[in-house]
Amino acid sequence: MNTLRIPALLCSALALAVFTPSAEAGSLFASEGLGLPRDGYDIAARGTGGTSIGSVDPYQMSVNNPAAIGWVIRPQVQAGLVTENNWITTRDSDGSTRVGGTRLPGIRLAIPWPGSLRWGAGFRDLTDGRYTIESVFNEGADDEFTRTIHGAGSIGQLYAEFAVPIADVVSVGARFGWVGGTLREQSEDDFFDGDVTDTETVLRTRVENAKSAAFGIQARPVERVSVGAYFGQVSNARLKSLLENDSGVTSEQRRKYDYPSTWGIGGAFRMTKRWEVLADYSTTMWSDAEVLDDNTSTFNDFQDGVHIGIGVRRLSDPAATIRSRLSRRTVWRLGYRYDELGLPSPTGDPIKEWALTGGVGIPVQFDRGFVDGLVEFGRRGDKDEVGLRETFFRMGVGVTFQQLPPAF
Amino acid sequence: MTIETERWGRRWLTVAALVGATAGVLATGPGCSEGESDLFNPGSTRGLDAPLDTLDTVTIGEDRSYRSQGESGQRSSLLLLRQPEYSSVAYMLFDVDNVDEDRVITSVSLSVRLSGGTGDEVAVDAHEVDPSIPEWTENEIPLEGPPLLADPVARQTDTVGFNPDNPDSALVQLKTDILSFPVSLIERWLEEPETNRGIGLQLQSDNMGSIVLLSSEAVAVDDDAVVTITPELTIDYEGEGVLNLEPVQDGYLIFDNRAPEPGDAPTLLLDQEIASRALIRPDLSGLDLERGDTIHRAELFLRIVPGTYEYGPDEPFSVGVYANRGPWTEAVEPDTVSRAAFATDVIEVEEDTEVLRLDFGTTLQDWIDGEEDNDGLTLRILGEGLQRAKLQVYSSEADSAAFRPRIEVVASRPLDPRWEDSGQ
Repeated sequence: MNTLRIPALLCSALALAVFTPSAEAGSLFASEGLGLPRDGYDIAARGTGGTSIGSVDPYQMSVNNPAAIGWVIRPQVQAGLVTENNWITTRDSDGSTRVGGTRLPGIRLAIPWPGSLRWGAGFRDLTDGRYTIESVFNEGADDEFTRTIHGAGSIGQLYAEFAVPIADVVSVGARFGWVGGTLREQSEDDFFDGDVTDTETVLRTRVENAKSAAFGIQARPVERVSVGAYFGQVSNARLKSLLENDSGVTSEQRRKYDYPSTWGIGGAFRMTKRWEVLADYSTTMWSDAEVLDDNTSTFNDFQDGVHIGIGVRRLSDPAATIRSRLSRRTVWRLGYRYDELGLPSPTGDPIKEWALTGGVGIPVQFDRGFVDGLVEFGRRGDKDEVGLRETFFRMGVGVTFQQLPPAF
Repeated sequence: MTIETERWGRRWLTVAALVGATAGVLATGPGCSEGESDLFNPGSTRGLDAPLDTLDTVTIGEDRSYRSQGESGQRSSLLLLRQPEYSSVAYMLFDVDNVDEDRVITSVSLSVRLSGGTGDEVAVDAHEVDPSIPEWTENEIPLEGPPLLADPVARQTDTVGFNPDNPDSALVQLKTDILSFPVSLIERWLEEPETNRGIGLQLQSDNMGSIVLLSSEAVAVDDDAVVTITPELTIDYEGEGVLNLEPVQDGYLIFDNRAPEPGDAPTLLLDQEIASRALIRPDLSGLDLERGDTIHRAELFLRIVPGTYEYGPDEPFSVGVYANRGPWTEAVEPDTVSRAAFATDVIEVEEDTEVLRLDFGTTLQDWIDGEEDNDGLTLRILGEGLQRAKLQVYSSEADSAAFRPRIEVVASRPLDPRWEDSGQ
């Protein structure tokens, strides 16, 4: 039987990435720290509130527990596209400002070969540095000007991994990767007085030379219950700050950064043959992170990142056949998540985020993956305490698919 | 079979509709549009919302006038002047390698174009430069001047200046064969090239006045064509044949025996004819700027001393500000101060101008960035030697503080590294 091979799958995912529109506005929290933290959940797992650590699912492609790909049956690719609208309000503002942006947060490939060994590789965002601020300074004065700052880029992780299922009950896996990326901030000063020279400076913040390792396990001790846990560590990273002004002058500062470790646990319980509840808890210990050669740095004041997700999903009817109606094989998802963002906080309290989530998974052919849809509505920050509140509505579409038999 | 086909068709139609609708929302929805926020994060530790104090003032650290004793060879004019206390010498060096040694030279003469003049007679002497001195170049003429041999090799008296029959004659006037040189001089330069150190022109000792010769750097445009207006040494061969040589090096020096300009004078003199310039060094110690900061504007304000403006009533002249490239002090009048070839700003000055405003932002940026040392600025009237524009401005020693020069700087600091707390 002819099948679509891996290169075809990769090309499809690449095409999705290439044609993704690039917008440059995002959360104002992206201007803090190393950018707005992003979790590694795939579109499907986001629909259930960000739950996957203990979920035994051959189509699960979230990048947290490396043991998860141990259940993959065929070579498969996952990619997702997420668009977000933010309504930003501060304690001093009367109304809100809406911004938005779209991003492909990651791409992942998993291959079962040889025998029971599963290999995986991909890229994912760890943070998102997109934001745009435009404001007028010195209003009414001779030196009145507009400063516009465009933030772009991200810190990401390029990784390779493997997992081994043992007796169809346990899967253990490990992931090794490189953490790095550049956050680019372009600041333009546009003076109202035409005789004053407008200028542009670019600040680049780079994370370099950091290596990551994560180890995980998933187990399905009984048919209806599955659990999982993982632990990840990142080596010291090199931070670089590169400034270039209009006259071509560049300056560089360097720091050494103790990147935080992370761990998480999760579980899933299948109540009936079609209903399953899931829960995740994970934390990234940003409070332990520190700039090793600068004890005054704000990067020493991060709060621990915490993620708690609970969700429920209505699975495909296990009795469905290739001739069954599509609705019998569609997966529906609902969830809630609560996060504490690992960012510097002026109050010392963590910056919180919550969201209600929902999603749908439409099967690709009969058993070759899903086209997943996602909607999220939530808030981050706090208008009174933090001074900044963002209400966001997020939509996403993702595909997880395996080799597609053309004769289908 | 038909029923199965229809069922599959409906399924795929449903899938396609869902995917299409989602993609449509993603592609056309507001989330794909670029947005800007005019709000800041008030809890930001990065201080992105901190007030930006971009306007600052700078005082003058040192300033003085100085009379330039010489100028590099890049000038388009060569000044010949003589007064009881000062005089000038214009130097020219010709390369005679192309002169045909096998032919007999019958005559050698110099043609120049002159600028200005009053219509009076002008007497010029040409002396050979001492053949024993080292070679000189127009960019490095020693300020003590290449010595001239005592006896002139050529001398000429002619009328220079405005011709009523030719209104343009006051601007540029061609003087052909004004000086005839002995053929033996060229023959010796051919036989002993190491003795060719050029010639020096000066007004005769009893001829007080000034004229301006256009130098080898001067060009003119006539009917959109660039025409040569440089000095030419014309060599006539016996029979037919003429060879014209342009100076390969030329420049001039002023020998001034007047008392030095005081450094603490309350005014600064800008003189076009006998180049007098102003040196100004801003005191940047109070400016909280460092490498990487951006200068948007640095403006120098100089108040003109009333009644000191001298020029045509309806004609503006130009004043330029230059970055200095060499040291000087207020206490000692320098012979010359090296400066950048091009002005950072040039303004037109008219009779009713009260304040000179000159932007030297790019120069200050270089100082802040450490690209150049703060050797201050030179102010000069453009076209020195060509006309007789003159004015005075108040210096930092002026009695009234309101009249003293001042500098306004508009500068901004860049973003600090993300790991720094720059909130104010």
